[in-house]
Amino acid sequence: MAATLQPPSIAKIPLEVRRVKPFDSEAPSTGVWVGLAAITMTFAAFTSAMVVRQGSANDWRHFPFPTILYINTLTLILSSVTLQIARQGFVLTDQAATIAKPAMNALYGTLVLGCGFVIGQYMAWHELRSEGVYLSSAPSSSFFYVFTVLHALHVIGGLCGLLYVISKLRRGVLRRSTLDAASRYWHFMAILWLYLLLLLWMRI
Amino acid sequence: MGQTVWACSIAIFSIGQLLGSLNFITTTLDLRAKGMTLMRMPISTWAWFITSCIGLLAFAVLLPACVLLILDRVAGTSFFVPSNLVVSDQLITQHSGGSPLLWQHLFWFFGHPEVYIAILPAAGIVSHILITSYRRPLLSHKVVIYCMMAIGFLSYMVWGHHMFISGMNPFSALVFSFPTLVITIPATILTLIWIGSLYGSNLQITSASLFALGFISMFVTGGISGFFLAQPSIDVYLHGTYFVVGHFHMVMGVAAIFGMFAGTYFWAPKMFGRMMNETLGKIHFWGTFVGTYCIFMPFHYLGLVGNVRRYSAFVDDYLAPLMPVHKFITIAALFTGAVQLIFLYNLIYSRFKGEAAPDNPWKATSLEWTVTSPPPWNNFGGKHPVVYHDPYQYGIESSSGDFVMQDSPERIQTVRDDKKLP
Repeated sequence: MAATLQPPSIAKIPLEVRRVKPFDSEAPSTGVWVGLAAITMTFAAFTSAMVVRQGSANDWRHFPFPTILYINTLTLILSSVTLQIARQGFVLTDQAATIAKPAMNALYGTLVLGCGFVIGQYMAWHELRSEGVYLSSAPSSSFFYVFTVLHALHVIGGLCGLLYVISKLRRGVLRRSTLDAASRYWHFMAILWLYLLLLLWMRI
Repeated sequence: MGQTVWACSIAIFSIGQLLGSLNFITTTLDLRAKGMTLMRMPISTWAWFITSCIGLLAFAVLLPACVLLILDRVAGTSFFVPSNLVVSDQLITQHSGGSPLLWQHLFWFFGHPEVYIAILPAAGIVSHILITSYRRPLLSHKVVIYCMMAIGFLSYMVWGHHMFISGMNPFSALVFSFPTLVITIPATILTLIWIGSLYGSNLQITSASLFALGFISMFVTGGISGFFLAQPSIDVYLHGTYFVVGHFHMVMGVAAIFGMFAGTYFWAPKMFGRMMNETLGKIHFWGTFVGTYCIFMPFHYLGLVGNVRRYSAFVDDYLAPLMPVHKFITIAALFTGAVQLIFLYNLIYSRFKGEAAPDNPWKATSLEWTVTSPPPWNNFGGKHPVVYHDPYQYGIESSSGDFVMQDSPERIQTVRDDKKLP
């Protein structure tokens, strides 16, 4: 589509060819960096609490992880990959102010995989419960639930961010910085999960 | 139940603070007016920015602490509740192995930065008001900003000084004591700049500037008792006494409130479009200033003679001779509280019946004084101001008097250029 100064009606432009506005402010991008700093600090605090609590009494109990946890890990990594594919699509088409259909599909794929991760986490909790490992069973299980539930809540926040991006995209008013911000948050959630998995695997 | 609601409310408060800090940091970094470089921001804005940075990391620790606390209370976990705990003569059996010290560490890791979250905005407001009242720039407004940054940075290394008597290793106490004493260096530089710039200035006595000067007094008085408490060997004796109460009410409580009062007298005309009554403001200041010293100075003496804190009633014989001091403090507190009614009356009365405020009653330079009082919708009425100058161009000759507004395109010989002249 030729770049026009005033797009006549957004609704008439097909979904595959939506205009991506060049960014006019770095604020969303900065905001996400600042938010990630706070999230990092929060999980650092939880980590130090876990290390201190493990050393303070002899009631730490080790239990095996549900296998589905590893499948979830792969799902989340894959969702990051699809998001990156989607983003590459946007970056390439930005100069022409269009969005390729494969990129859009990759974005929907990310959304589905993200939902899959959250559902998978729920299944992992369910499995643990059926084995009698509850939140209050031992400090190790307490920390396991706290870490995984809070991470899942943050992932749900990321899903909301993706929905926001998609809705902006469908209305043709997406800014590059908004897309970058949402995807940076999403990648961070994957990295955070890898860290948490390693931490829990070492300690529990 | 009540305690659980309290913990939940603190958690919600933490989330609110985190989002507020996020908003403020991002706005400051990305959405400044054209020409407003970081170093052209007023010190008050800088103080809020640094405060937000501290708050972002501090509340990010309080929030997890609250989450764990709430889980201990409602979900039967044992993060903090130890074994064999007895509450109200009842042995707690469903919890075991938790670490109350862990709670203390998490809380104070937030708690000490929180002290600077309370005081730095006041320090910023006071710097801003003092410059306007002095009618000249501070000796160095960059050094003020750097000192605030240093205080913010150091605030994360000192939380253990609240826990000297928690049974920590004496070497750990030393590690926490050292940065605590180092923090007094930037704080002292700040104070010396405020007082040093007063020398030879054309001080305008207003309610705002009186409260700003009162802030320095409280900050210094309360700060000096901090030297004593920062040393583990002295703190072991003083920790459980009124000395600590006197210290932090002076340096953090009242000083921050003086900053708020100064800011209210200074910016109320801009907020409401009406001037506050200066005579009532000055009476309010002197009543509060004298009253505060009458309340909190005796606290230090009570602490030195061993009057314990956190007691609801003093029934021990050895405390009986101190009762007159307590009575004096109570009378002073009632007096100081009554003086605040003058402020409330002044605030409400001038809101509706006060003299109409001009756009720039204090002849200040920063952007808020370029718009009408009260400001138009969207602060600048849909226009984007352009900034040409440093925020503190006072004590110079210009078409508007002894100052130049930040958005004035007028070319001036800056004070710094002036110094370079032979």
